[in-house]
Formats: sequence, C-alpha cells, structure tokens
Amino acid sequence: MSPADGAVRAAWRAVRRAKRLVWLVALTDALVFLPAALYVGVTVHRAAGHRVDATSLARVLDPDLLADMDSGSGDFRIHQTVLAAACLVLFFALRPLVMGGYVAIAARGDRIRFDEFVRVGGAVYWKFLRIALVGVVTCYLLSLAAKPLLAYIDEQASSYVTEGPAITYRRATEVFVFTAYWVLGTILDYTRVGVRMYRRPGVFVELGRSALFVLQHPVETLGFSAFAFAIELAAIWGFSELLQRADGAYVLTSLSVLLLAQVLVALREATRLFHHAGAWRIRRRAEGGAHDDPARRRPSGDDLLENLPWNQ
Amino acid sequence: MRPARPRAYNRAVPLKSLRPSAHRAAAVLLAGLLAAGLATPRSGAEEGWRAAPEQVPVRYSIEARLVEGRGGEDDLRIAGNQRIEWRNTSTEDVGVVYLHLYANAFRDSHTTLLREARDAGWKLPEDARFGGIDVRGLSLVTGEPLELTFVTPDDDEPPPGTTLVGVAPAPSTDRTVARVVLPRRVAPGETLGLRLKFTTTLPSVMRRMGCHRGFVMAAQWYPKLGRYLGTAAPGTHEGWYCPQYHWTTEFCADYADYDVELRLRSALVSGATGERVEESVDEPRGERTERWRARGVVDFAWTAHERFESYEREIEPLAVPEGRDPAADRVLRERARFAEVLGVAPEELQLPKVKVRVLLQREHARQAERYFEAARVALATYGMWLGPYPYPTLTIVDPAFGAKRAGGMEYPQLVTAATEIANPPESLDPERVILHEIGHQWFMNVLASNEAAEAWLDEGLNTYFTARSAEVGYGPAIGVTRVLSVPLLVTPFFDFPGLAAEWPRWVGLPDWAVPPRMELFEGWRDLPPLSGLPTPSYATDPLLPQRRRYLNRAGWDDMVRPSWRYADAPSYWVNAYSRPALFVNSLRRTLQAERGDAAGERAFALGMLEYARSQRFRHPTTGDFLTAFGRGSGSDATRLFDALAASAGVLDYAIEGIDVLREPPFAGIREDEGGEDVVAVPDAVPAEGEAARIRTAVLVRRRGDAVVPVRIEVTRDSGDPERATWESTWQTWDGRERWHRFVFDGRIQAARLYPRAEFLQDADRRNDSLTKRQNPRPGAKWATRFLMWIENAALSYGRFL
Repeated sequence: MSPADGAVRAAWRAVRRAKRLVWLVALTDALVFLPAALYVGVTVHRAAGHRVDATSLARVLDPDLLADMDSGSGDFRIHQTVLAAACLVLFFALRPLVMGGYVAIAARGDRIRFDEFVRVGGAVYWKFLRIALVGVVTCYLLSLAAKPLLAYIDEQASSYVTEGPAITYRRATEVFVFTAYWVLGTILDYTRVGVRMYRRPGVFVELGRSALFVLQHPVETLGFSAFAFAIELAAIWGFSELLQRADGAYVLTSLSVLLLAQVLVALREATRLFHHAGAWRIRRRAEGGAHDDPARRRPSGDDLLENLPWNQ
Repeated sequence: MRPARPRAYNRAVPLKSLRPSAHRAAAVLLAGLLAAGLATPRSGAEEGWRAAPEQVPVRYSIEARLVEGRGGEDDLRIAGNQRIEWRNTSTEDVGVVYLHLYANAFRDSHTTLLREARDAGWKLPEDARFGGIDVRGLSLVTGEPLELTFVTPDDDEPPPGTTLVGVAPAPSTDRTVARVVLPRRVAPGETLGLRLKFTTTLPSVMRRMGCHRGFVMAAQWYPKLGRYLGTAAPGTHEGWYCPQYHWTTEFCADYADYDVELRLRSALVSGATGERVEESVDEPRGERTERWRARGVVDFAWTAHERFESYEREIEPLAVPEGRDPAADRVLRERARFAEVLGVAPEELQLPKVKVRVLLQREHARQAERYFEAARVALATYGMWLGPYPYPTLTIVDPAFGAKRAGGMEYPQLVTAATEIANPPESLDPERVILHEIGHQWFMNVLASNEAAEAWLDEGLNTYFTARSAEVGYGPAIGVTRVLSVPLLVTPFFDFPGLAAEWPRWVGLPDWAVPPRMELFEGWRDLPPLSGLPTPSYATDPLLPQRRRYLNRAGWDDMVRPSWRYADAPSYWVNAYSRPALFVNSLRRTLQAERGDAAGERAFALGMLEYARSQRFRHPTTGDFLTAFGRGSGSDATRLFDALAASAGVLDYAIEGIDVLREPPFAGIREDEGGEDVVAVPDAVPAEGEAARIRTAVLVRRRGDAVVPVRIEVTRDSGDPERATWESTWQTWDGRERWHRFVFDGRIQAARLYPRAEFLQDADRRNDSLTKRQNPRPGAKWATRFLMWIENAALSYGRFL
C-alpha cells in the first residue's frame, strides 16, 4: 500500500474540521498588514481625496498620481516599502505559531480548539522559527547559487540570433529554479511534520531526515505537494476573474474586494493546512502508523484560552 | 491680433523634382489649402514646400565591400574607397577639414562614448568586441597626399561644472574626430575633392552600429565631414562643427548626395538609405553588387542579414487600407478633424504614396501588418501636420535578437525598430518606436537641426508629435507584465524589492549579494491576474508619460545646451525629450485657452506648419523655430519659451485654500436717508439682499520659479449637490506675484488650475485642484488593493518557508 493512500481524505477532513481556525488565521493575516494598508489609504486620500478628478483616480491606477506622491520630499514608495517590510517581518514572526497550529491539527486528526492551536503552536514556536530561518537562508543562498546559472543562460540566450530558443532556455531555467524552491518548501513542511511527530530536539537532524524522506518517496511527497499547489493555483485563478470584476471606483466595491480577498486568503491558508495534514498522513503511513499524536490534555477550567467565547 | 496667414501653400512650390505621384498628391494638398484661403501667395520668389535642399554642399561616392574575417559571422569588416566633394558655401577661405570617424568610438573602453556610457551606469558587455575605422591613403583628388591627425575638440579639463580635487584628468583615447590640414585654402564657392581608403571593423552592437551573428547595422561606418559654419559660429573649431561621439549625442551634418556601391554575399538581404538603382550578381563568387543613390540627405546607413524577411508595400497614407471600414479608421478621422481645423474639405488633404519596405526577423513575421500600419499612421499624421514625406521609399529594420541596441534609431529613409515575439498589440510595442523613428524623417532630416547642440529641436519636437500620432492612431498603450515571457495586460500595484526583484540601492547590498530577478518569481509573488491592474500609459493626456519622466530631473538644467553638457544622462533624456514635448504641449494648450479650442488649434497648426515649411530642408535653430512658429500662429512663443525652457526653473502653482467669506448683517453707524448718523444694532434685520452676501476666496500660490499666466476654473454648487447644475467660471492671473486671491460671488464647490492642461510640467499636480468635500474613493480603493496584494505576496513567499 502506498503511503499516499488516504492522504487526500485525511487532509480534506483536517481542513473541514478547522474551518473556523483557518478564517481566524486569514483575519490575523489581514490585521498584520493593516498598518501598511492604512498608510497607503491615508496617503492616497491626502493626495487625491480633494482633487476634482478623485473618482477617476479611483478607477485606474494613475501613474501620475504615484509620480507626484514620490516626487520631491514625498518618498511615498520608500515609506511604503519600509512599512511593507516591517509587516512582512511580523507576518513571518507569527508564521511559526500558525504552522505549529496546522501541524497540531494534522496530528490530531480531530477537531481542535483555538486554545490548543495556540498552545501547540507556542510549544513548537522556536523550533519552527529556526526551520523558517533555515528556509530563509537556504532560499537566499539558492538564489545566489542560481544567479550565475541565470546569467550564463542569459548570456548564451543573447548570443542567439533568433528569439525563440532564447525564450525557451530562459523559461526552462526559471522553471528549474522555481522547482528547486518548491522542493525546498515541501521539505520544510515535512520537517515541521517530523519535528512534531518524533519530538526531536534538533532541527537540522530532522531537516536532513525529511529531505531524505522526500527524496525516498518523491512520487508521494512531491505529488501530493503538487496537488496542494494545484488547488492553490486554481483558487487564485478562480478568484482573479471574480475580483477584477468586483473591483470598481466606489467605497462599496472596495469593500467587496476586501471581502473576496479575505476569502481567497483563507483558501490559500487552507491549502497550507491541507498539505501539512496530507504530509502527516504520508509520513505516518510510511513509518507504519506508529506516531499518532498522544491524547489531548484537557486544560484546567480556569485556562484563559480555554474560556475564550468561541471555544464555548 | 490677426494670425499671419501661412506661406506654406503658395504657387511657387517647386514640385518639379517630386515624383509624379508625390507631385500630384502634394499639388492636391496645396491646391486644397489655397482654395480654402489659407495660403496667400506673396511673391514669386517666395518658397513653398521644398522637395529637396537648396544647398547640397557635399557629395560622397563610396565603393564598399563587406568582408568576412576568420572569426566568421562575428568578424566583419567594411573595406571602402571613398571620394568626398565639398563645396565651400561660406564666405571664408577654409584651410582645414574636420572629419567624423564615429566608428572609432568602439575602438577601446576609454573612448569618449564608452567612458560617458560607463559614467551613466552602462556596463560594457563581457563579450564585447571592439572595432573602429582605419583611414589610409588620404589625398586630394589630384593625388596630393594629406595627413590626418586626431583631435578632441570637446574635451575640456576639467569638464564644465566639475572640480578635480586631487584627481588627474581622465585619459581619453578618443579618435572620433580627425583634422586634416589642406595644402591650400579653399575659397568660397570652390569645391574640395578628397580621396581615401578606409576599413571599418564592425564591433559587437553596443550602440546603434555593429554586427551580431551575421546581422550588420552599418551606421556611422564611413568617414564623414563635419559642418563648416564659419569661424564666428559658437561651438566650432576653426569654423567646423564636429563634436566627438558622445553617449548622449546624435549627429549633425550637411545635406549630401550619396552614391554608394555595396558588395555583399548573395544570400544577404539588404536595405539602405536612398533607392537601389542597380543590382548585379556574381554567381561564381556568390556576391551581389548593389548601387544605392540618395539625394539631399544628412546620412547614409545600410543593413544586411541573411535571416531578414522582406515585405514591401506601397502605402497611401490617407487612404483606407483594403477591407477596413472608413468610418472606423482613426487616421481618416484625424484627417477630417485637421481639415476642419484648417477650414478645408477632408478630401483636399492628400499625401503622396510611399513604398515602404519592412525587413523583419523571421520569428517576427506575424507582426508585418503592425509595422505597415504604424508606418501609415506616421506618414499620415506627420505628413498632415508638418508637410509631406519627401522621398519615395522608406525602410524599417527589425534588428536581430541580441542586437537590439541597434534598434530605435533613425537614418534618412531607413529606421530601426525592435520587437519581441510576444508583444501584444495593446502594448504599442513596437508601434510607438516606429512612429517616433519615422517622425525623425522630419525632425532630423527634413528639418536638419543640430542634434548635438540643440537636441530638443529634433528629439523634443518629435517626442511631442509621436505622442499625438500614437493618440490618433491607437490611443494609450497598456502596461504589460511578463511571466515566463507570456505577456499579461496588467501591471502590479507595487514593486516590492525582494527575492524576485532587484534590491534598491539604498539597501546597500554589494552586487554579488543581490538576488537575481526572475519573471516567474515576480509572477508568483504579484499574481498579476489577481492583483495586477490594467494600466494605460495615460488617463487624459498623451503627454503625461513625458511629465513623469520630466519629474526625475525637474530643475536640474536649462533645456537647451550641448548634449554632453547636462548634469547627467537622465538630465539629457529629460531636457532633450520630455521637457520640450511638454513645452510644445503648453504652446498648443495655451493658444487654445487664450483663443478658444478651434482658433487655438488652428493657430498652433499654422505655427507648426509655418516652421515645417519655412525650414524644410534647412538647418533650423531654436531662434528659427520661435520666429517661424510665432509668424504662423500669430502669437509670441518666446515668452513661454523663456518661462519654461530658458532656465532650469520649476513650475508649480498651488491652490492653497478655498475660504467662504460671509458678509454679516451691517452693524455700527450709518447714515439714514436724511443724512443723519444712526446706530444699527447687530441683530437688526439686514437690508434687502444683504443676507445672501456670501463670497468665496480661492488662494493660489506660486511655489516654483517659473512664471506663467495661470487660469483657474471654479465649479459652482447651485443648490442640491445631487442635482447640482455645474457651471464654470474662468479667471486668469499673470502669475508674477507669489500669491493671488480670486474672490468669487457666492459659493463654489471646487477649483482647479490649468483647466485645459496647459502646463503638464507643473511639478506637483496634487495641489492643482481642490474640492470642498473630500472624496474617500481613491484612498479606500488603493488601500484595499494594497492589502490584497501584500497578503497574497506574503503567502506566496511563505510557500517556500
């Protein structure tokens, strides 16, 4: 029997049982980026809200408005970039907690409460943060490693006398590099699963084991990862058309875009959970099913998280 | 003041030298305008639309052979024998001759061109092949040998505006200008004959010329005379204007006749300036000999490539292409509009047919129709606005892949564009380049201004007319994002630096540590179909893209100066291209604001026609432009030129506030009917009409240095905002004071400056209008879009972590 058997069903079940948590995570994502979005909104309002052509400025992205906001001492772009970077740092600082929660959901195979989501996420936070940092450094090093390859291909492509082969080679190189990142991301997901499954103290050991596991079971692991990725792409594709149609130059249409965008974010979060749950199942089956998560510890009655209203 | 009637269309037009079809079409065009009373013949001696230059002081005869060296198709040389005849049209005896040897700009990495390029941030490709031109056997036609020495007339040390502190002057190895001392002086009216041999080793295509895998772009490939302007002319050396080849400079030459014999491999498909008058094939040697003749042009360029697909079509610019609905044809609509502006019937505007040849790379063959249509739009619009294209042929070249630096350049009767397989029609790429380069047939060749000293007269005017031509033919271009070379007609909301984009300099990473840029990663991060936005190049005015470029260097330099004397390369691009285009736009819009739409448009059209006519096949200067435009339009263009171009001053007027001024009921002492003083109490019932005394003050302040007449338009709010009747009131102010307060009777809802977009060069358009009520829509829209973009970008990044 293949380790991948039942992975989709298990992953789907995990997502279904954690709907409310996924919505909550999506809402948290929005809150994390709200300061940067508010800055954009306020700055644009100051620059355009009083203008006679304000409605048309809301209709299309006006490069002239952006040029004005950037010229002189405006520095809109720099402020926006710094704020966006700060929000991204906060997002990735919270991410290990969320990932820990996802792995907890995957491990439980049952409905999980918010308090446990946070508690398990908190328990593995530092390990998962280390995994994320290893991921960041590896991604960066991978990009530097890809640089001479890309430069070489670019140089070779430029020496062609026709455009067609040059485009093909560039495409193939970019797809190759992107695939490397995707495989890395898959390995990191299996590392998180492995850390929780085996309770190992060392991140690097588990990283190596997970890489080995992915390479030993490429069809199951990468195949399932590709399936989850395809679902994510399908969600993005489906919402693209919807969002572009919903968009307009009115406050109401902006609100509808906001709502639809949050639905999409929730769907994308769900695909991450989906992949983690499937990865847990695949790894557990490959190991003979010996690593089910231990029974849930019931918290004491005066636990703050336990007593949150949506847990009642 | 009554506008001067154009002298453009009079009976003294020397049409004899035009081809029969051109003759007929030009005659129809002119006769139509004459009939409409637009042209007032003055005297028989007065000129009309010249078909050729009055003076052609130079004649080149060149026999050239393309030779392939041992290095194969990347080792190409042009071996030539050349004869130059120069007639001294000045009033001075001339004892020296200056020659351009432009190809030597690619001789080594320390030439003026490549050094300036490096300073501008351009990187010499690692696989660059150097080239150059060797001149041998220089003599008079009588056989008397002559010696050639290299000079660097523009190399001031230190360069203007620069102080060298403990730094030795940079070594220059420039050999792009040669000086030849003549054994005897050439008297006025006398003709000098020179004979020489040259070998041009074609470099890799770094800028405009060179060869790449068998593709040849032979531009600036032969020894070329400088222009003799006289010893008193500014910028000359011993009377010759012959600048070095600079990074930011194009060319300047006398009109010349060319007779060029080219020997090429038979398999090569070629194109050149002028007309091919003879062709013979030497089959045993596999060679073809072509003879090209060009009359009254300022340069001669040619191209050859085995992979060219050649398409040829005779284009009648103002006729509807077969199978197209005349009512939907944008060019015909413009003809109708322009005819109305001039007050003639549309049918009376006719332009000569032109044989257009398109040399396309095979993989771009599908775009042939787009090339022809762009050529038609350019020939029609420029032809209507500036007089007919004077030559029977025009060649458009698509350089080989890997030689794109040869693209986007103009030569007489031959232009180069550049395209890619996946260029969607909406991107207007290559259409805009084709329009621009064909436009240079006027602003470079027909109006042969000095491109090195007064670049605005060709690049700037042409940029303006390119924008209008593209507007007529196509409308705004749509921004394109490419993912794996697949074009998507959207652009991302925000270009965040990161893994998928180049880091900005302020992050301070060394080059080796900067992550590479990859389309696929950018696509995955930005998700263009989701977060991207359709972004037209402009919303309201086709000149707005030029404004955005101008803002990058607003206030840095005067607009008119030698091209290599600007603060940096971007300042040159701004002052040669964008700023003059905005200035010409201001000329047109100001005339419309002063005289009304129709009369202003007519005045502008006549001003430009007068410039194009009076300077046709001449070498106009800035003064000539201002004089001719003023004569044609009946308005003084100098005033605006002084305000907007003569200095580096920035234009910025701002509406600082709208204040409602309430006139309270009268209180105090006033005279009664009997002349007695009485005290009016504050809460007394006001006299009739007093309660309605509300006025609104709009305070406008000049924040910049440039002074222009400022128009303000206010919108009244007459009653219920939902059913408001909008009416506008115009006020003007000469703008000389630092501030001005306009007081209007009653309430107003909004005010805006330059209601006809007269001054797009205003440095900050955010303060050009003000409404009393704030509109939350833009803020809400862009905050939402940003939130959507960044959340999804974070999740995309997070996929790998």
